[in-house]
Amino acid sequence: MSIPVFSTSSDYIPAALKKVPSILEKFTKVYNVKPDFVARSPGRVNLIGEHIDYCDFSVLPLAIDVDMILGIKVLSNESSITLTNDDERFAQRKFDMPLDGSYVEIDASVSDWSNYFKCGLHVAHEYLKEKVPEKYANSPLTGLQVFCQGNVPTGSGLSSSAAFICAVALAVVRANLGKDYHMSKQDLMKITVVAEHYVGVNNGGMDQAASVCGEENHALYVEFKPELKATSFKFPKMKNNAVEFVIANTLVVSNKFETAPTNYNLRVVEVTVAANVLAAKYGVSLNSKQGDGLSKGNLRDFMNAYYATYQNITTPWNGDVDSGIERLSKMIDLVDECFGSKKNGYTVDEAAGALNTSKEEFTSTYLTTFPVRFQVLKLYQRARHVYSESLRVLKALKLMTSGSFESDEDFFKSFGSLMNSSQESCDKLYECSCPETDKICEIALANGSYGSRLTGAGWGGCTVHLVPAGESVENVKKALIEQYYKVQFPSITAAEIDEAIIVSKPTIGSCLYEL
Amino acid sequence: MRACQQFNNIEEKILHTQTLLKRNKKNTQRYMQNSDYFKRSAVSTVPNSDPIRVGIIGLSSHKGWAFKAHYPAISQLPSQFQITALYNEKIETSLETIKKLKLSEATAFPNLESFASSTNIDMFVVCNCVPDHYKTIIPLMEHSKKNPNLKYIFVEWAIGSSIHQVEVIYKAVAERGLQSIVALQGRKSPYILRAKELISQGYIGEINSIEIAANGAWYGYNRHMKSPMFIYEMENGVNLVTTTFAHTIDILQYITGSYFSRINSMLFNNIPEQELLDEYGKKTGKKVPKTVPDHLLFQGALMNGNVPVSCSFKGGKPTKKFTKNLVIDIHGTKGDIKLEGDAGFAEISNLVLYYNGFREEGIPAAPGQASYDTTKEFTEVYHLRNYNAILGNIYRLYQSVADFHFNTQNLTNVPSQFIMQGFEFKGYPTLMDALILHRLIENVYRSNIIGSTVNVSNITQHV
Repeated sequence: MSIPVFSTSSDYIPAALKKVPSILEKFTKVYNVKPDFVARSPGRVNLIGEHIDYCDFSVLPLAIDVDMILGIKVLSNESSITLTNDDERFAQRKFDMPLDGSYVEIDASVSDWSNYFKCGLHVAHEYLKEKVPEKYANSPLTGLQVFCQGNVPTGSGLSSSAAFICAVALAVVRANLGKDYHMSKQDLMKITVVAEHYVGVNNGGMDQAASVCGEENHALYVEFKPELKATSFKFPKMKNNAVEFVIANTLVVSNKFETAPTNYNLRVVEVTVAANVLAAKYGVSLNSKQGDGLSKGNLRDFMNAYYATYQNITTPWNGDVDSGIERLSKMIDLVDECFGSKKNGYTVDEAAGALNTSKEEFTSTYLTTFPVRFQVLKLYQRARHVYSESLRVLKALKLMTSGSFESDEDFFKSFGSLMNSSQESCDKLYECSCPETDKICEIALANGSYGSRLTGAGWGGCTVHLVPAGESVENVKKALIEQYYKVQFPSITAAEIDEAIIVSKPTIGSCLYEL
Repeated sequence: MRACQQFNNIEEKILHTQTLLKRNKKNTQRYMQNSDYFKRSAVSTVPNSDPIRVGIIGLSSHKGWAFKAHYPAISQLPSQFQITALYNEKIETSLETIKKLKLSEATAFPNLESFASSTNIDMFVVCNCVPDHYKTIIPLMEHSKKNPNLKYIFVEWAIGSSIHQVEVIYKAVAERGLQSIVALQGRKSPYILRAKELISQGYIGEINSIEIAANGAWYGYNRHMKSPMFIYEMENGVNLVTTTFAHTIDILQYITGSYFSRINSMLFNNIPEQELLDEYGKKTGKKVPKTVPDHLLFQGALMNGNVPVSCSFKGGKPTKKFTKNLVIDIHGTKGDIKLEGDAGFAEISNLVLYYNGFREEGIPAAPGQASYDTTKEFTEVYHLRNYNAILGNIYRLYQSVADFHFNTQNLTNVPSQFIMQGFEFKGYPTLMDALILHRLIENVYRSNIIGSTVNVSNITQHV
């Protein structure tokens, strides 16, 4: 399926594009010329399945109506790119593309907003070189004037970076191949999945998949294996109150780039080490891929390898829900068996010992891909979270799609309890919650939410709450305003509160608007 | 950037340095409270004023250091720097460079005098061979008096072929009233800054000893055919001591925030003849003379804390299998830092930083994390897999010049010039920093000749 393209002559224009005229106006004001097109990509909320995408386990996100919109003017005779951001905290940037067709340098050692642009540019550049080698092998991409306007709060866990990167990659491809080229969603999703690795954040592919493949009124089931795939589905039909998800921002901002060494990247390292320690303990071999140390196989690979060796099931798990539930339950037992006596964590020496390798070898294999900082590697906690969270996703999917519940209440309670368990696991095992998140969840649960949890990477950012549409939504909002926002931030304005609480309708994913 | 006074003459300026050195220590302490340098988002800000117009000496269209590092760094900062002038010994080289690199704003100058006096230059970048620096810079200072726009001179390390040349160059530039920048770019390496940050924030406690081992590849038994002659002849001032040692020891002083009080050194030329290798790395059977040293043993005490430092610099082929070509081990009372690299040149190679230790007061936990167990050690491995150190460190040097010039941090009372970077996080090394380093080099030679320990505690002062 290709990325939807709209224009003034389209019969239907999604609500998400209602901001286009104001972008045009602002673009013209900055550059004294009209843009050629607009590219847009949304943020996302993840309903359940946190920190498991980089272990290749499926997740349940949906695209929401906060987004990044780019106005683009193509400068065919130039090779420089100018970036202007509507948010004046991000100063204007300008850079040239090397004339020999090589890539623009991304300095991963600094934190700058233009780096995220360069990530999207880089993966689009690779894509163009592959698609049209005769044109892009030795010459630069076309120059651009770019105006960026985004309202995904940064560091909020709603994936402002994926929204930005996906919009950029889409815009760069459109600018270079023209409006007659229709990029497929699959291609855009595939190239953007790894884009953030260039700024040193080793994320999985959930955010990009949700941003690219979002659909109005649909949630997504995103799978990474056997292949990257996003399947859309509707919330189940209720008898009385429709399903609604309230998103509340803790307003605690986590800068992924700066905290990655102790948080995000460290977790990626921990789960990779855990997978390899499990493999060593049970004497199975992970299909390690070429490339850096973190391609040494993950927890999903271990599950497959274990079943191949001990159950003689040689085809990897294909995503089937029932067999998945059975296998993941088994994995949880193995985690208890393997790591249960060492819940305090592993030092470098101990981890190297468990892998029968030297600590030098261990360090160069696992610890030099991204900057990391730690006291011990908490293998038990991290592995147990990943397997149990993946199991909850399958159960949640079953509830959502099979309609196997007797009453509205039955659905809300079952789904809500999965969300609550997810929150507990994120807090206790993955240590990615924070006191503010816990507080918000507590308030929401006491005032009509059936399930409350953090969403996104955590360490602050947003929370998501399962609430029946109607009165309950208002009750939850009111309680959060009175008991959280006004208490935590006494001088908060009504507008800020408005922005902090979103009752989301699933929206359309990445799209273009031609002018 | 530190506020700085204007001076009537150089004597006054140099005398003032002592006060500055003391203040540097204070400044370093001030920076201890913030680790904001990583958060600087003021990179590549598009300035409201025109870019700095750059005149480069020694840029060719396809080879050489200027082409490998300075040119790509400048091209990544097009709103801040623009190449407007080129000078090479042969004007054909400049013309070809302009054509091949599409330097549409640049003019090729036929001689040094016309280049120097062009009013279309704000900054000289001196990138020709080091033995030619002196005879380039001195007339450059004279002729450039006709260019009232000139503000900066960026000189590649090692500035000159001898301490005498460096002193004269320093004076000439100061008299001309230019702000100098010196390519001691190791100070801008993210690994070096991270190490400096860890130490200044108390992560390893007091430093108690340091060991360095580095491999200066060019000075072993073999020499590549294409390797330039001048780096093997002592009189040119480009050798194991002025390159491998000087860059590394500058980095060490910068990280620890301390100069040396006394030093001792031994130099060896055990390989007076090298075997010449052809372009495929095969032995040709031909021998060529070498007068520069192939080994340097250096030891010294850092002024702060009387810390013993021992270094071994060896010429030879890099061996990657069992040993690293660069190891800097810094041991402290509460932890250790190790920097490793695959080449003996920390300023141009991608490194790995290892840290292990604890801080009594602990480390503030990120939101959501249980506070750390302060009785337990921390491990940090800092490595940026895709970092291009050849370009990256020079690029960051240009960035800091732009930060200063365009005052991107909107500081009030920014002086039009500053004398030296010293040990500050911000800013960039200047000719004063270079001069102090050259005095240390001079004492390395001296200690070797007289065979005893030398007091160097006064080299930061005007002598």
